Amino acid sequence: MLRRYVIRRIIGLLPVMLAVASIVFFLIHAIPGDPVDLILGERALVADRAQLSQRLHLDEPVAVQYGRFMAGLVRGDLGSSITDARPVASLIAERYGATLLLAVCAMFVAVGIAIPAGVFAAARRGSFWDQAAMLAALTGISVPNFWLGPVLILIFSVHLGWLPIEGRDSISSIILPAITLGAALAAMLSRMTRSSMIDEISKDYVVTARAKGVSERGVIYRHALRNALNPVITIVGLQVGTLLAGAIITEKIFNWPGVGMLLLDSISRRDYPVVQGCILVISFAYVIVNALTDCLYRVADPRVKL
Amino acid sequence: MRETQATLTGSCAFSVGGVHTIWLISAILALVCILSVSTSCRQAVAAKGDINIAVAAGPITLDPRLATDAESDKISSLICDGLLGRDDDGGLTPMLADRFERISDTSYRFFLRDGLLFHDGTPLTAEDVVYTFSSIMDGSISSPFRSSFTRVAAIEAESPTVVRLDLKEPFAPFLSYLTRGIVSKKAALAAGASFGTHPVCAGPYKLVRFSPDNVVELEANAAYYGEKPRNARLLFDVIKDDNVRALKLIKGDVDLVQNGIPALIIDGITKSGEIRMKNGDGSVMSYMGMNLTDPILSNKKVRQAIAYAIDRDEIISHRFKGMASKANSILSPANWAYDGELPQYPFDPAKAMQLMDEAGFKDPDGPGPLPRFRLTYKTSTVKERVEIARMIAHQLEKVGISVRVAPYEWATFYRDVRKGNFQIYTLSWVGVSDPDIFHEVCGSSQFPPNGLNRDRYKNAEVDALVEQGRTTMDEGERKKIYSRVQQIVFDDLPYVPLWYEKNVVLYRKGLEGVRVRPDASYRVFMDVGKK
Repeated sequence: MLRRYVIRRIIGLLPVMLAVASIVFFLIHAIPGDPVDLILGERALVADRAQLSQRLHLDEPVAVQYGRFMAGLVRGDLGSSITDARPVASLIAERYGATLLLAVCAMFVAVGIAIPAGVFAAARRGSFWDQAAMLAALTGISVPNFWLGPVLILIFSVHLGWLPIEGRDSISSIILPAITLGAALAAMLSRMTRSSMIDEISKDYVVTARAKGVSERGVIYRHALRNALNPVITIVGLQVGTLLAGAIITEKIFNWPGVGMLLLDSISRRDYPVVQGCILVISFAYVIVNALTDCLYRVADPRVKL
Repeated sequence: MRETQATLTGSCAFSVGGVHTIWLISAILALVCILSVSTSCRQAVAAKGDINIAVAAGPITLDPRLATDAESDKISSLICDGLLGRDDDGGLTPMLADRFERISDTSYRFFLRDGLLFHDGTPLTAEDVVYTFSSIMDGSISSPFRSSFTRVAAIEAESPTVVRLDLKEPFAPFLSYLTRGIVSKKAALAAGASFGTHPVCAGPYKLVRFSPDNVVELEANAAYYGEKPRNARLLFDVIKDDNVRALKLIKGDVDLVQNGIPALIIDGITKSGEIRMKNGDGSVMSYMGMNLTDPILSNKKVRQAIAYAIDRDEIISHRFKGMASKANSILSPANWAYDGELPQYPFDPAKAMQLMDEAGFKDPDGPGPLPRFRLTYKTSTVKERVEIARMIAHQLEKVGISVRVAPYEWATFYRDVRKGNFQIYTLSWVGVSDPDIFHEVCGSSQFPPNGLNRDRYKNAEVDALVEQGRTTMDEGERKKIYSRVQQIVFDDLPYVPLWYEKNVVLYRKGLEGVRVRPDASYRVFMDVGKK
């Protein structure tokens, strides 16, 4: 059943990916700016500019370039970087691990904080601790990561000297970027977990469980939490995709060598093939993560029919 | 990370439902994450005695024949020496060629030093010099510097240590083009397009590691013909965020930052005494370009009014914290051809308004809200540039010019400037060494795409003078010619010279030998060492 669903989803993904690839191609080519200008500079000879345009196929009609791009994509060839002639696929592959790692660790931070905090707040609804947890969540949502990152560096790296400022030199290097990226998500998830838990706790089956003498811990963790997790999983799934796409600022602050940084640099250099490749990979990851999220519903709640 | 992806995909196959399964998946992912980090260290930690320098961007290529961006050019200059070099004052100095003779106005003979060796231990000969320039000239590597060598008629190796260069016509600025680094013919042909990441030259440092988004590591070249570097290694740590660069300097993770810390936070950083600062006049000239084909800006009085309306002292004081000086020419005062007699346009709003009245742009309602005219001010999206644009716009509004600041992403902004799709904009001239820059910026034959005359300036006398300057070989005569050019351009004002930003080096107090050059060259890092 699950296998058939997965196969059906994969087949369904193909037209989506085709549409995404087409949109990415035409959007990139609609943006003003000539890569030849940026590569050769203003002092280049007109003949050299024409020669480079020809070599990069930029002198061809957009339709022809599109055909070339799609044919390459079908073969798994994302082309080569305009600036350093390296295959786009290998440029992305070098950095994708770092982006994925950051996204996953940020998600751990978010889930690790949010679910216990949300459950704790819901179980003590209206108490001082509930209000404190929700105030912390509001703060987490409100603080932008371009501010949070440097502040965390100042405290934990400069003043306390516990963690490295940036880079990817040791296990501890991931801590600050993951917290920076995961903080807002933790805040959002904790609010969602709390409200979802409050809904579940007020349902009849919970009252029944309590009446039958199930311990409060059992009521919360064995009964209510399991049912409260479905909406949380939906958000987590969507947010993994967002984290994969939206880690650019965090990657810049912490010099994290991920796809976001590659994308940012490539946009400023008008390196069309790399920009296309990065956006495609990010989009595809988003689509795939959503499909995986649907699978996880079943893991969390066996009653869900796929 | 392939393991991580496999684990994620595999999670679909779990048939036992429940929260415990999710926690199990989480634990496995956490383990994979830790393993991934621990196996992917970049190992950029500097050893004691090495100099760790923070830079805002990584170089794109270290091939001196292709390097156009600032970091590529500056770092490759530490790896690849040219026939000639530049001293601290910007003057030409012997490098690989210890002398040259001018056979005629169009012919030169260069004599290479004896016993020159490339980083790989192979000898550097005249053949390598011929190959380097030929590969630029023949278009085989798409060098952006090809236009600089179009006047070369012939280049030949007369012996293993003698190179002869013949030009088609006398061309005074030509020697300044010979500072470009010489590459190993054998290594360049073998490496092909990857030579930019594996350069083999004969400079004071050789490349050890090149990770353009992360770190560039150079090691002192023990076989260097000149004075050896004072340090064993230079590590260029690429840190893109301004604040993080400053924090790494404060913590001591980097030893030195040149022009990479915003002026607004310098005072705070140097307060503790752990961080020292040196600054010196720079040669980078910021200017406001004006489109001379625009019906309003084609009027010289309007352009002069704009110059009088800009309070540069206020901007230098507040925005640069004094780390800039007022400009009046493309050439900086450190340049040999700079005209020291040039005046400045002082801040004089009354004069600005008078000039606009004379130009026919009277204020329709006096101090009321209606402007004399409206301008669109294009700039890049770089935060500092936008802030400066807003300050200038505010100042212009005080004399009745309504200004809309329009920041554009760099490539779009640059394209618009080249295509003449602008009214006013601000940019900087970087790396100006020879006064022939006036031919490119002010010559009427140099409208883009043929040259750098972005403002579409035309003046027959300037055209004649800049041509004369190119064929006059005597430096004293050239200085007189370019003095006249600077005076005319100052009066015509196709662009408003704004300021020369100072070069500022912040460094840890244990460092010695730190100095700055007007061109902000990285060659000065050769003399930096730790106490």
